[in-house]
Amino acid sequence: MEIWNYLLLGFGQALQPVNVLFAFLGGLMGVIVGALPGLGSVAGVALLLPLTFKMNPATAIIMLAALYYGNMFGGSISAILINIPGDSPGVMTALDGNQLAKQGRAGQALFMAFSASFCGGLIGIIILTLMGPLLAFFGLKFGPPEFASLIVLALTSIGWLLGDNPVKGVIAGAVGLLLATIGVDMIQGQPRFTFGLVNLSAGVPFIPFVIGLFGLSQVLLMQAHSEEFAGKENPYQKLSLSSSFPTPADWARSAWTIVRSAFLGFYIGLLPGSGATTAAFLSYIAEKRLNRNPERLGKGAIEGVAASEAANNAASIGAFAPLLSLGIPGSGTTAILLGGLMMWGLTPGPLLFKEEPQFVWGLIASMYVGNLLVAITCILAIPFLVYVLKVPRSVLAPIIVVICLLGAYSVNNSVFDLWVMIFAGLLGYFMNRFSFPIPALVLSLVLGPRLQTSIRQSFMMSHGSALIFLNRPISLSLLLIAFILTLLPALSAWQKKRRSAPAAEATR
Amino acid sequence: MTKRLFSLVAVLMVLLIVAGCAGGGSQQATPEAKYPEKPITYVVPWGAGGGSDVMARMVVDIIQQNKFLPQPVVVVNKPGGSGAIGMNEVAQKKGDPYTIIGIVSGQISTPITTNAPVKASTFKPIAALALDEFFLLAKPDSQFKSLKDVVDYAKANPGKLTIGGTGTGSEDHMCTGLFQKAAGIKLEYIPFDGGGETISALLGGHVQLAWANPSECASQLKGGLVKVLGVMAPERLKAYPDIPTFREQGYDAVFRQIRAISGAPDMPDYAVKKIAEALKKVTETERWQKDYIEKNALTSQYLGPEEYAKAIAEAEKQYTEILTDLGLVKK
Repeated sequence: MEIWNYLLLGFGQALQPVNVLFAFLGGLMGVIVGALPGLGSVAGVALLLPLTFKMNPATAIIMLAALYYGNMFGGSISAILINIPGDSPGVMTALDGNQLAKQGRAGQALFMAFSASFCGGLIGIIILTLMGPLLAFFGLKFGPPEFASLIVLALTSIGWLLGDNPVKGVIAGAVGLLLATIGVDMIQGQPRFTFGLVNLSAGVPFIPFVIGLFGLSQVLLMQAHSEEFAGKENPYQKLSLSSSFPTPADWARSAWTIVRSAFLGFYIGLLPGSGATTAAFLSYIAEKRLNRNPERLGKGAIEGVAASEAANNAASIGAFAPLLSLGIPGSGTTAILLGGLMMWGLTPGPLLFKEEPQFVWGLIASMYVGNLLVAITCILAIPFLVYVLKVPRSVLAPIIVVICLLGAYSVNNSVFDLWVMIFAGLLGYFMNRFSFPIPALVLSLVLGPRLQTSIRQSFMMSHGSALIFLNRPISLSLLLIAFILTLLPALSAWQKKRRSAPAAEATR
Repeated sequence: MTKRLFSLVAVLMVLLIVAGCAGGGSQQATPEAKYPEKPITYVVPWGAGGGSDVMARMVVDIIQQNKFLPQPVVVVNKPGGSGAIGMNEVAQKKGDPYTIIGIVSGQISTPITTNAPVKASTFKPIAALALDEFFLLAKPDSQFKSLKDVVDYAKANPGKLTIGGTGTGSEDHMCTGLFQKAAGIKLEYIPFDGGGETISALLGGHVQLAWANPSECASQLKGGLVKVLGVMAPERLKAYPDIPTFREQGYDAVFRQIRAISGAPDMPDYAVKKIAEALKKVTETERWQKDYIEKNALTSQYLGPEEYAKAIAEAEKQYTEILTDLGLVKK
């Protein structure tokens, strides 16, 4: 009951007109920053932060938090419409979302993306309200060995992302893992495979790479193989909101996915050092694993969009649990928010809930309000957004190239990143032509560095003993699941063989 | 009548124009006198929101607010490679009076371990503004009550005690090296990606000890989630008078992080002087002392160009020694 009182107190704060206004403004800015490729929530919050120092702290943090979760909504717009993920959490949304747009279902894809974001966010906020502080402590149990095992589990699941030709899938995944080794190694502090290029010392710049791999490569495809795109001009004729409403079958397929992804996303969000991107990737893999027709994913399945969007929004909320109750930022964006809170003289941590209940609960309550406002705005904007698809391809293609260049440059203000983007565009083009699965490469590129670091940190913790992965319960269970899942296809094949063997004997 | 008035006005205008030209010509303004004529670029070789970025934006805001320079200073983030990417870019702007760069200790140590051509001393020293301190943390229920407990345990179990910190060859790593040397022990240093992950690892019990700046662990300390065994400063901190130093506890280890600003290589002296003066004024404002130094529990210390140059040279020498002891310097 105590929680209700606190929440009411919070809503008293959050529903003040000025706070509603700023939650809305922040959310809207988040959507825009998220939709613009290259600009992410980290940059958005960092740029806005100095402007808020004169504001009332509660209002300021309400606005900045709204920018963070609004960003998750925005990332899906450019991912679905032009196949350029606006921000790294949107990468998985692009996979199915853009396919849907090509099938003329952009409106529905956007509608589902926004609804999934909203529901994911809402479930996340409810969990945060009810047991945020408790879960934050649970998240601490996740150390390097657990992370290593979690990523092993995720990577063994890549098998399901491989597509029609498993060998090509393994190659793509392995190339991703190899690319992930580039850069100064965290443990030894020495550069690896950088060929003396300072720009590679931080590793392959991920966002420029993805922008090229998805965005530029598709323009190359459009130009080089225009015949395949011919006749597909303006696939989306109806621009009304009602025609953008997903079908009952879509909802039925996505409902469970959203709930599951929201829980998974929230949990990933509160783990140290992992945020919305990892959450979106892992819940997409989970969807691929658990979906009844996994082969549909990646070819325009609306559940794929729902999984990724619900998870990244829930993760952005989840990251607030360790921030508020332990004072530990779970992601890059919350690290900046922590800096802001300290500037206002608020020290997040175990005492914040006791000392500043009005502030904490005002923030939590504002998330309900802000999420709803952003979702409604986005959904109402759908008819205008899909106008993008009415632009003739000959006009759209050069615009996409410009967006790719600007987006790639704006991440680090680096010309080198443009070359990375262009290289990735060519790579994407050839991978597409020779049907190598791009998701396998992106996935291992994202998870690879963390896997290496976690394994080596674990060995340092155990002074060289591999048993550390087995004698910690969470790590052991994750490895067991990975082991069973790897054996499963072989097992079912063996079972099929055994069942058909007597039958064959009988006919002899 | 009107005609005459008109010609009079015309003559006056011509005279004025000539006078204006003459005035401009006779002054023979040197670049020194006119500096700065355009905005100054302040390169932060770290991401937005990090410690260097926070300081940069505070400095720029105070300069703007008080008009310490006639032109604005613009912050540009060039993150990546532990500062290497931004440093390389500024290193190419030889003699440019309009580019300055933020320098912290990590940028002095990384070029030493990676053997990079661009070092912190490549740049023209302008001024050092503040010092950041290092705490050795343990969990409150830990068996370690003081540094002596840590040393006793480490001596009984050499190389078994795990200590977390941010990055390799970083400030935290060098603190570990100094402590090991002063106490004659061997610890297992485990690097993490950022202060947040390091403290998480400590709270989760994945490492037994961890390093953190006062600002990084202020909230956990206040909330009783961690305790401090010692501070690496030469004397106790004003903000934390109860925390004993390493020296007091009998281990001669002192380490502080420099927060400073340098100019492009071979930046003209007139520019260095102008900017250093403005920065000195910044450190004397009440806002700087209250909103930056106090809030982040830093130690305020202004060093002018010469003293700061000396400090960098000393740091490079000291860091090379520590990092060599740690086996991180390529021969």
